[in-house]
Amino acid sequence: MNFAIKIEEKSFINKHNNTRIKVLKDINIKINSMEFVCIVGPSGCGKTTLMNMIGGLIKTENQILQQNNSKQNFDQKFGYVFQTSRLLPWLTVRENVALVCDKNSINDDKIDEILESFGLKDFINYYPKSISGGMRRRVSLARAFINNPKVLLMDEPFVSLDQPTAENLYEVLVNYWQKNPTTIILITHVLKEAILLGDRVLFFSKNPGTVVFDYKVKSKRNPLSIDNTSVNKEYNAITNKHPNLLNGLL
Amino acid sequence: MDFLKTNAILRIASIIAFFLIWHIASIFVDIDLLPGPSEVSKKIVEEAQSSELFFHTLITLKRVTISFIIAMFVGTFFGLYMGRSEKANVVLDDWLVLGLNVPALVIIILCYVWFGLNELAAILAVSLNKIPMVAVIMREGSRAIEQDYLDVAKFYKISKGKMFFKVILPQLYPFLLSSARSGLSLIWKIVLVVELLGRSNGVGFKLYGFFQFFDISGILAYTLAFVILIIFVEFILIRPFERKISIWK
Repeated sequence: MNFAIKIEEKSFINKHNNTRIKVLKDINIKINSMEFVCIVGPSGCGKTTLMNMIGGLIKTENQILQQNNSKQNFDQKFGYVFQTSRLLPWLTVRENVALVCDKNSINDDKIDEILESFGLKDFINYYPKSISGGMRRRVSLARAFINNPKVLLMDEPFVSLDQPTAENLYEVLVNYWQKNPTTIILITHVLKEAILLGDRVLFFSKNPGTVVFDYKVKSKRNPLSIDNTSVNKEYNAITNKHPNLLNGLL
Repeated sequence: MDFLKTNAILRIASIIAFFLIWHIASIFVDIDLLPGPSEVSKKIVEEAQSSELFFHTLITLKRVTISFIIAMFVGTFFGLYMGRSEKANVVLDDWLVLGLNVPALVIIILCYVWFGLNELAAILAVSLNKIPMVAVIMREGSRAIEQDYLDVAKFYKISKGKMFFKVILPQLYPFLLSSARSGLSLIWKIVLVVELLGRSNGVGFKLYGFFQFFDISGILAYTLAFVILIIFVEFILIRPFERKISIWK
């Protein structure tokens, strides 16, 4: 299913001085079905705001998602991997995943199956506090995938992880995604990560955020490592041609 | 395990030290002013044999339980409401300050004057004294609810029941326990005053009788019996519940 994200402008009122802050403007992104889209941009350019608007956590006056050019009710199933794992510490790994389950379509076996796919079989009765940060991210991924989302939103899911742990998670994510394809929108600060994982990379400008460059990735996710030669080549090519792109300037 | 053993030994040693100090003090002070633990124990047995102790203690316990439940429910409701709604907080905040600062005795007297010397007035007086304190603690509790977890629940559109029992309530447990603990200790003290002033039964009523006859051992016997009962509630109900809900920590 292809869909488009359209935002003319999104602003917030700053409560301290009662001024209006523009966060996003002129967003018009078309995303193809099963596409892995990465968003890269400077801090504060509205990436997380965009994600929260798509996911419905921030109310919008106008519908921002359009399916087949129509503004009808966009009743899609979403999954969300937040910046921090946001696991409820008083629930076990299994209970955290079960909490968000759509009980009409997901049974207990499916929960066990997905936990096994993410390498969590031996930790299902553990509390989040007693597993590592990398494991917690895995639980967060499993939770996001459990309802078979049509669109998966990921807000810097690998931030503050060491490289081996992050690469291990790339592997887990890509393997599961290839077996259970869905559209993914991922925010990251690491351009190499975006080139490694994504089909496309959208570069955002400084605040108010808008897409300044839409890049189609050539690398093929093999091997799934930041040190991948073709990823490095693409990275160098982009940064040499547009040295200020990561600061939001083309 | 050794740690638990050491803690248990320390606790028992502390209790023994308390009774020992009490016993030694009673040797040096006039026995009518400070009867020792053995005299007080004899009085407890004597009162227990005549069933007086059970009767009055159970009556007081009933009043404590009913007032406690009412105060917890009403205080929690208003506390959560005030914590989640800024407008409600602005409207009710001054009421809360008033409730916290009106002396317990004034509320008791007013309840007896307005509603008569009856059970309703007694329970109402005790509950009204405790509700503001529960509301203050629960207001802080509801302000401490993590928006991040609510966002997760909101994003995945989980049912209201699940939202309350799995997401909100576990975050309120420490505050509920805190208000329950302070509630129990405060309520039973107020119940005694209520009974002393206007009831014809209960531990407070008995204490008044002992006071009239200057019977210190009777006063200490009933006090000790009731304190033991409250400690029993703490160890049998509150602590196991606390352990159960904090297992993830």
